[in-house]
Order: sequence, then structure tokens, then C-alpha cells
Amino acid sequence: MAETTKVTLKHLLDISKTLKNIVCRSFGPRCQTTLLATPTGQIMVTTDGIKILKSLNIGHPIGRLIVNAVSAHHNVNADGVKTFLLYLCEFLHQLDKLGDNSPKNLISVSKSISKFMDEILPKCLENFKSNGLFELNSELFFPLELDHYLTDFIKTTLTPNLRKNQVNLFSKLFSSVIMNGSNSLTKILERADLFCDFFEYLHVKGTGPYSDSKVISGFLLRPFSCNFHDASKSSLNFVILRNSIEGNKTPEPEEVVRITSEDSLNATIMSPIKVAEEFLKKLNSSSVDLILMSEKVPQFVLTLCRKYHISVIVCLDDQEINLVEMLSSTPSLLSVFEEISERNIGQTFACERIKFGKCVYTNIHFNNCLYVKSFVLCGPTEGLAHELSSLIYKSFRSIQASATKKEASSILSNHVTKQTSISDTKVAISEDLISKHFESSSTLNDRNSLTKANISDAKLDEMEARNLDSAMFLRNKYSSKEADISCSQITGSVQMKTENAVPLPTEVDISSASIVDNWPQHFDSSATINDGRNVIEKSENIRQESTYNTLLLPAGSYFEFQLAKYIRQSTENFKESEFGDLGKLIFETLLAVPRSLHSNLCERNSNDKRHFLEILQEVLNSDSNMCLNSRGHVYCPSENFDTLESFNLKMATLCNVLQLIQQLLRLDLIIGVKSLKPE
Amino acid sequence: MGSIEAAKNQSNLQVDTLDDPEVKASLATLRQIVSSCMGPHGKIKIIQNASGGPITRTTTSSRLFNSISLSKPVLKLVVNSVKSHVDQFQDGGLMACLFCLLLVESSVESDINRSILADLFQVFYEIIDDYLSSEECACKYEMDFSNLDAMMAFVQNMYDSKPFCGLYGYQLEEFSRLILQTFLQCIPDMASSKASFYTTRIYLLCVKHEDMNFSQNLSGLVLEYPELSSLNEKKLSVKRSLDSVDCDRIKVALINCSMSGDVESELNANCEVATGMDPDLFFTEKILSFCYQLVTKEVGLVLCQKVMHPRVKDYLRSKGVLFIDRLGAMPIPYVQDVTGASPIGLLTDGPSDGMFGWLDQVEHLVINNQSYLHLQEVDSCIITLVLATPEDDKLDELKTTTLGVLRNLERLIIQPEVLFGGGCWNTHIAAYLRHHVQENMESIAESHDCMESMVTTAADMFAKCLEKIAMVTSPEGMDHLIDLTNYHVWRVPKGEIKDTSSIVKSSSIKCGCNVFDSTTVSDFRFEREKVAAKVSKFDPTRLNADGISCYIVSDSLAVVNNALRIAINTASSIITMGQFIHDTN
Repeated sequence: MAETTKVTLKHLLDISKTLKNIVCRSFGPRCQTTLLATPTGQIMVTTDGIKILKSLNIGHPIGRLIVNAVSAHHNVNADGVKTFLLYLCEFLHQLDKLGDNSPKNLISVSKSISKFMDEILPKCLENFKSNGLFELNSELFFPLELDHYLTDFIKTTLTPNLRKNQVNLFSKLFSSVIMNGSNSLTKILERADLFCDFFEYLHVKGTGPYSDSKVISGFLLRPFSCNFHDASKSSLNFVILRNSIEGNKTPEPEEVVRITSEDSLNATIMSPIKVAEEFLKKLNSSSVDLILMSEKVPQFVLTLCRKYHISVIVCLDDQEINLVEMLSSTPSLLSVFEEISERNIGQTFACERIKFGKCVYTNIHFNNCLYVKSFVLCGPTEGLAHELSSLIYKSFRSIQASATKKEASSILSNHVTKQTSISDTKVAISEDLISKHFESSSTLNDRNSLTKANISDAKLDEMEARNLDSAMFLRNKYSSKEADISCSQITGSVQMKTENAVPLPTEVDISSASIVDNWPQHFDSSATINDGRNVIEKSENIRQESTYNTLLLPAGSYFEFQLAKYIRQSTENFKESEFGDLGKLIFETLLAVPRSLHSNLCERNSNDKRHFLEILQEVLNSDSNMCLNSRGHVYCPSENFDTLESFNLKMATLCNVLQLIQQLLRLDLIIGVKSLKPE
Repeated sequence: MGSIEAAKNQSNLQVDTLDDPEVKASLATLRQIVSSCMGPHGKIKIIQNASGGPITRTTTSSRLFNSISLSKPVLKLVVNSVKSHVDQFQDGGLMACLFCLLLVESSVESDINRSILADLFQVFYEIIDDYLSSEECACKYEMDFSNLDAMMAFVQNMYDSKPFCGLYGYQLEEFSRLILQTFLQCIPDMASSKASFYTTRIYLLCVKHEDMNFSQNLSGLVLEYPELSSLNEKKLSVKRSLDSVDCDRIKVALINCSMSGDVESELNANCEVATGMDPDLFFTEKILSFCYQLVTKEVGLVLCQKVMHPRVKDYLRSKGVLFIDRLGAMPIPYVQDVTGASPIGLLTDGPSDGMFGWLDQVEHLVINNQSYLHLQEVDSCIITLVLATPEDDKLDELKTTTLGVLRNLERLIIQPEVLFGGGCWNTHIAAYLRHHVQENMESIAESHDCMESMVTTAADMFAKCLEKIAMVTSPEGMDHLIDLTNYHVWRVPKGEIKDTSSIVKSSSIKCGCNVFDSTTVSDFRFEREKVAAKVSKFDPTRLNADGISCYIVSDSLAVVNNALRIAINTASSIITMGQFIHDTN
């Protein structure tokens, strides 16, 4: 049985308003956090828009559509969820205020959005370039300046979530990790890549006051299972083993051993002991002091390790071993029967047991990667410590997402005209990949203009096939087992889309971006199987293939004010026949952000609205470029500023919202299919 | 039969805010529970679940929070934070919880922007932290380990504030002496051959006994030994051998793998056996031959973490070797510490000499109809502390408190500073905070973009919360005064003093921590009085360690500092929460 519901602008507005009201309490530097509790009693305290949205578990199809679009945007840009909802809600609100809600009018607005994005937005970069856009690259800045800009940028991410002194602490820790004596933006971006890919293994969480958090040099592994090496040695030789010492990896659960005689029984009992002893003897003769391995060790192996003075760290997971292989340039042993060559033996210059709160770790410094540091993050409860760690991860992601290849103008025009996400462009492993990627995303984007009703199964299949093509391409490119993962991930994302049945442009972006967004893992893990050293060389060269830069803007609604001014100018004060009305809508949409920010920054009082209108008049009529300071007053950021945000993020958010609106305005019916209950 | 995971139902969201009356009421209830548990006059709580489960009686934070289940997410957050503090310090949980709740409640009442308030709380904590760690601090002193009176007072205080332990008067003094003695005995000698230990060196053995005075400490390790009679103590003759320096001692083997002879569990697989074959027998023979090697190496005592086969037991018994099996994982590190043995995990290979441990003496003990083996080694500083109470519930309470006391004493070695307790440090630092904030008003207001009046109000609110903690530990029917010299708290029966000038200057009238008497201070104010906006001077008397009497009430500085920090961090997170979304589906 099918039931249909007509979709009206009122519906869209109500749903987006509800979502905005829930999420946007956490908007702005003086925002409030949200405590989410599940029926099972788990608690999460967060200001992260995407976490709140996802845990709401929205059931309404339009709500889900919006949530999916927002999460797709977040996947690429790592931020901008609340701004997204503010824009969306305000646009629909302004449209509703115009009064003409006929489908004909809505479709005409939807059509003119594409044109607007093609014709007006690309020109705005030039406007921004001449108006206070900070272009970060290693050639232009001294290390101190670079550090200063990055710290300001990170502070913007951290401020809503932490108290002032905590923001200072963590931005310092963050910059010490990412700068670490380096003055090159390329190096910084490489580190951001490393942390984004392996953040799970480059930090530990504990409960305690925030101020106990610190950064330690080296890498933290789980504690020694046994610690028998010669304590006086300053540097240890180690091997990495992806198998168990007694020969067989995890035994079959229902394994049956056939015993016919005492000899066979003896052989069965003694064989693992012999294998382990042989292996340890071999290691001992190669002066190995430490085994890092993926499996557990039984008691008898520990006794043997004591005999040969070899320490063991067990139960490292696959990704962790990949990281150790990469950092130490030491390929792992897949079996104990393998010949141990010199290149299988790595060296650490320090390896010590350290304790944080109740947890014990082993701190290892590999000889050839002194730049690696690990975070020790403490929060008053486990949940808050977890929240802190996701915040730090988000900061790395923001840095990663804010970077673009140097030909920024071409990228931006790509972004706007082809409607691919900006961060796609940073993933430039090779020209081939880019061309393939663009091919796939542009094909998918062609589909954006289709309405829901026009999408046939055949076309969805075609989309899936194209994504699979990309996966196949990756697989061929790296000829590794690991490409399977990418393949399955891509199919996964396509399935997600087909379930939703409405191809949002932003989702399309993501699915194509996710192929490349995950590339470092594929790359690293696949290549390490072939040759660990090779990986290092490649990973160091990854960012050098092209020069990157990061475009930053002062925070405090600088982007919105300037763009709003620009749109007003370019549409001749909204009098232009083609874009006048839409320009006015987008103008008002943009101003929703400074309005919310202003009420967030000012202490509650009744004059807020009036004060904002005064500010708005001042900013719009002034020749200089202005924005809001931390007290909610206007100032000119060219003099001094202490917070920065990414231009790419802002632009991507606006583009993605406009694309979503384009889709939403063309929605006509919700067709609900009810399953008949068996009698 | 397969099962399909049901799809997640659509959410049914309930959205609350901190200002909801229901949330406020739940905060107040938890505050009342916590505050009424605190201090020597605290009331014992009985906790039972709705379906009539076992009852728990307690006044300690760790047992209280482990037995109650909370439905309000905001309370869960508070309790989880406090638990993280208690896990680390085993003390100060009630204080942290109360302070956090007081801060949250007064912030909700206040009309200051909560985000600014949270920032100011952090500033106030930093001011307090700086003061407490500075030399200037006049509410702390350094614990002198040679001053046993002060140490005793410290231990007694902690037991005194846990009324359910049931220690009063002479019994309290005896028990505190026992704990202090145990602690001092377990500190390793500087010249000791052993550099590091696997354990904290004190093994707690809890026994049910009618007489609490039966609690005692025994040098060495006491392990359960069901092999022998649990009625009479038996004289044991244990095989002795000569150690590396030719002393006549008992050789110990510690085995951490199974000696049950079960091949299937050893191989972690099922066996398909030909007729006439018995793999278990074969494997037992292997274990027996291992035991034979132990016997030839003159081992006198075999300690096995897991199960021993009866034939293995028989064999050892016949050779006059003592053994304990099924030790479990918990006592193994203590055995390693007391004997110096390394665990043996391989039974098919002969044990090397370096893996054995040594004991001076092994004795049979019977405590409350339970048979135990007492492993003694003169050089080791492992002590078994036997805690005896008539009830299980009380035993748990005593154990929790004792762990806290020992932990605090241990921490005093590293950080020997303690605060004047009995509520005095609270009122003292509240006064310091008011004074310091007044002095630095401009810079604080400017750095946080807020008005000076806001800072004053916030500081006063914060200081009041600190003072309230000092008040809740008093018995009922008391008036509270704060002197204006040292800012300590003074308790007088309600209504006895109408005017602060009428207080008699006498050396018998003491402040909360028993350090100062009323002759040393000039003026007082009632706690409930409004504090003058401007605190003119802050120049309290600084005591040196010599002036510390055996009646002093003190609190560990490290514990207090962390409790304050946790409370403030948690309160800051809570007051900046705009909404609590609870999925009830």
C-alpha cells in the first residue's frame, strides 16, 4: 500500500527549523553544549553538530535527506554543519516570507540557483583576494608567523568546545605537534595527513583534569607483555611479527587433532614449543631484543622469552602494525619460519614503560622518524576525554581540508562550476587519478538536475558501475589486496545512496571523494606489504608533488559580510532582473550567520536586535572590510585579529547548501510504502 | 536458528534544560544525599534497589556511587566525573561531588552568562591552585614523618569521617596505630636488595570475625590453604635447602600454567584418540616428570595459579613438598614480591635455577575456622593486613576506607603537604579568593570581556560554595563563625553567641582544625553575614611544623586539589550545556 504526502515549502521550513533549533544552540564561541543520553544510559556531551544530528536518529524522509546532505558535507570538510543548517533554514524562511509558494515559482528559484552559482560566485574569489584573504604557504611566511596563523586557525575550532585556558593549552600542544620545528606548509600538511589517518594510534585518552594533557615525543604502544631485555641497553633491535610465535595464527575453534600413538602425541604437544624456541633462538642470534606482534602469547612462550632475554608487546592490530612498519621502515615478518634478513630488524633508540593514570604504555622512538609525537589527552570523564580527542582530530581534519593546490583560482572555479567539493582537489596523487575522479564526479553531477521522479534504476546502476570503475582503477593502480577495501567502501556508499533514492549532489560528491579521501590508508597498507621502506619514501613525497596553500579569513562572519556586500553590489542593489530576487535571498541567508553569532557573543539583553541592525548598517555602508570581535562589536580585522577560519570551508558550505536547496525545492511527493502485516 | 537484528526504532526525544524544575530537584536531592554523608557526623545511607535486592550501608563515595543507579543524564555526568577522581585518589569523592553540585545550583540561580561564568570558575581555580602550591599559603603544613602524633591524627581523621566503619575512641586509636604501623613497615629499606616491586606491598586479607580488634598485620604473605585442617594449627616440616649464600631456606616454585594434565585445553583443540591411548595420562606423566625435577632440585613449596591433577598432588605430598593450587591471578604478584620467584609457564622443559624463589619460614595459620599458609621472608617488606569485622557490609566499608588511607599515606611520601581540615582550609581559601579577585579585578574583567560586578558576584558565589562545604561537616544545631585573622571556621552551639564581640578569649575554644584558639584571633564574623565588598588585608599567621599538635584535623593537599579541579571542570561543562536530549525509545 502506498501513501502519498505532498511536500510544501512549509514542510521543508518546519523540518529544517527544528533541526536548526536543536543543533544551533551549539553555534558560536560562547555556545552551549548538548548532552545526549541513549536509552542504554550512555552519555555524550558535545558541540559537534554532526554528532548531535546523527544521534537524533531522524525518521522523517526530508529530515533524513537533510541529515544525509549535512553528513556528506561534513565528511569532506570536517566542519561547517551548523553554518549549513543556519543557511538552509534562513533561505527557506526568506523564501517563505516572499509569499509565492507555487511549485512554478519554487522551480524557477531552483533553476536560477544553478545560474547564480555559475555566474556570480566564481567571481567572488577575486573580490576576496583583494580583501583580506590570507594565503598561507611556506614561501610567504616565516615559521613564527606560520605558527601564529595556524594557532589562530585551530583556536577557532577549539573555542566553542573548551574554556579559554584550555583552548590556549590545546592550541599550543597542537601547534607543537604539527609544527615541530618545521617551517614548511607542505610538511605541516603531511603531518596533518599522518594524524588524520592514524589518529587512533597517535593519541591515548585518560581521565583526569584537562591540564594533565600533554604531548610526548615518540609513539605509544600497549604495555610490554613481558619485559626481559637487557635494561642497560639504550637502543633495542626489534622485529614485527604478523603471526603467533608458536607457528599457527589463531587455531580453528573446532580443530580436531588425531592422535594415534604416544609419539604423535608427544610431537603434537612439543611442536609449538619447538617452533617458538627455534624462532626465539634465531632472533637471539640476530641480537633482537623486542618482538612487536599481532597475536597473543601463551605462558610457555613467555617462559622461553625470559630464557632468551627477549621482550614482547602483543595484540597490536593491523593498522597499528602498518603504522609501525611505516614509521620504522621495517617490513614485518608474516611467519616465524621466514628468514630474518637485516631489513626486517628495526631499531628504537628509546623504549620505556610509562604510566598515565591507571594505564601503562610503552613509549617507543623509532630511529628514523623523530618528528612523530603522540597526544596524551585527559578529560574529567571518559566521555569528555573522548570528546576532546574527537575535537583534536577535527582540528587536523580542518587543516587538511583547508589546504588546496596552489592553482587556487582554477580550483575554485572548478568547485563552483563543476560543483565538486574543494577538498577533492587536494587529493592529487597523480594526474590519472584526478582525471578519473573528475570524470566520475562530473558525470554524477550531471545527474543533479534530474528530479526524483526521473531517476530510473538503470541510471543508478550506471552510477554504481562508475564508482566501481574508480575502485577498479585504484586496485589496478596499486595492485594490492588492500584495494578490496576501497572497493567495498565505494560499493557501500553507493548502496547508501540507492537506499535513500534521492541523489543529492553533495552525496555524490562524497561518494566520489571517499574513494580518494581514504587513499593514504590504501596506499600505505598496500605498499607496506610489498616494501616498508618504499612507503616511507613515497609518503614523504606525497605532498611534494605539488605545492599547497591554505586560504584563511578572519573569523567573526567576515566571509558572510563581504560576500553579502559583494552580492548586493553585483546585483545592483537587488534591482537586476535576472539575479535580483535570488541575490536578496542569498544576501539575507548569509546574514543569518552574523546575526546568530552576534546574539551568541553579546550578553543577553533586549537591545540585541537593535544593536545588530546598527552593526549591519555600519558594516554594509563602510568602505573597509569589517567583522565581529569576541564581544560582538564590529572591528576592522586588518589591524589585528586572533581567530581565523578556512575560506574553502565557507565556500563549500554555501555551495553545498545551495545545491541542497535546489533539490529540495523540486520535491513534490513523499511516497511511503507500508508493509502489510501478516495476519 | 538465525536471528535478525531489529532496526533501530525512530527516536522519541525528550529535551530538558538545566532550568527545568525536575532537573533542579534531582540536583538538590543528590546534593542532600552527598552532604549528609560527609564528615564524622555524617549519616549512614541504606541503599536497596526497587526489586528488593541486597542492601548496602555506606558513607563512602565509591560504595555509594557504585550502588545507586541514576536516571538523569546530568547526574550521571557528575557521578562519573567523581568516580574518575575516586579511582585515582580513593578519597575526597563526596567533597568533589558536593562542590560540583553547589557550583551548578548557584550558577543556575545566578543571572550571569553561563559561558562567562564557566570561564571565571577556571580563573578562580587557577588562583586557588597557585595559592595552594605557593610558599605563601597559610593553610597548609608539611607532614613530618618523624612526628608520629601528627601522622596518627591524619589516619584517625580519615577513619573518623567514615562512621560506618564503627571505630570510636580507644578502638579507633588502636586501629589507626595498626594501619600506620603497617604502612611504615612496608616502606622498603634503602639498603634493600630489591629495587622494584610488582605490588603496593600490602596484601589485604578480609575475614569475618566478631571482634574488630582481631585486625592485625603479619609480616609476609598469608594465603588460603584448604589442604590442612581448619580447626587446629599444625606444625609443618618443610623441606629446606641451601641457597646461593649457603643459608638454610625454603625453595619455592611458582607455576602460572595449568597442571591439570588436560591435553585438549593445552592444545586448544579436540582430540580424536586411537583405542588404548590416554593422552591425559601421557601429559600427566610429563607433568610428573617436571615435578620430579622440582623434587631433585629440592623445592619445598610449589605454588600453582591454576589447577593441579590429584596424581600430581599425591606425588608432591609423598615427597614432602608443600603445595597450593588454584591461587588465582590476584596473589601472584605478591608471591613474586615475597619470594622473588619468576612464574614458570613451561612444564616440558626443566626449570632454570634463576626462576625459583626463597622463603625463610612457612607456617600453618587458622583464622576464624579457615586454614591459611603464612609465607615469611625476613628481607621482603610485604605485609598482610588482616581486616576483621563481624559483617560483610562493614568489611567492604573498612576495606575501601583502609585502601584510601594507605593510598593517602603513600602519596604523602611524594607530596608531604597537608591542609588544615575541619572546614578551615575551605573558609581560608574562600577569603583568599575574595581578596585576590578584588586586587586583580581589572585584569580579570578585561581578559574575559565582562563587567567587574560580574566578576565580584561570581567570586562571591564561588567562595560561598567553598564555605558551604565547611558547614555541612558540622553536627546539627551549630552556628558558624569565621575569624578575620586566619579565616578559619569556628563552631558554637546555635544561639549561644548573639554578637561576635561577646566571644570569650580562651585557649580551650578551638577552630575547626584545632590549630588556633580564640586568644590568637582578633575578630569574628558570622558565616551567614554578607562579606564586605572590599577585603582590606589578608595577612594570616603562618605556622611552622613544630606547632602541630596531635589533635590537628588535616586533609591531603593532593586529594583536595584534584577534587576541586574535577568539580570545577565538571560544573563548567554542565552549566554550559544548553540542552539534555534523552532518547527514551
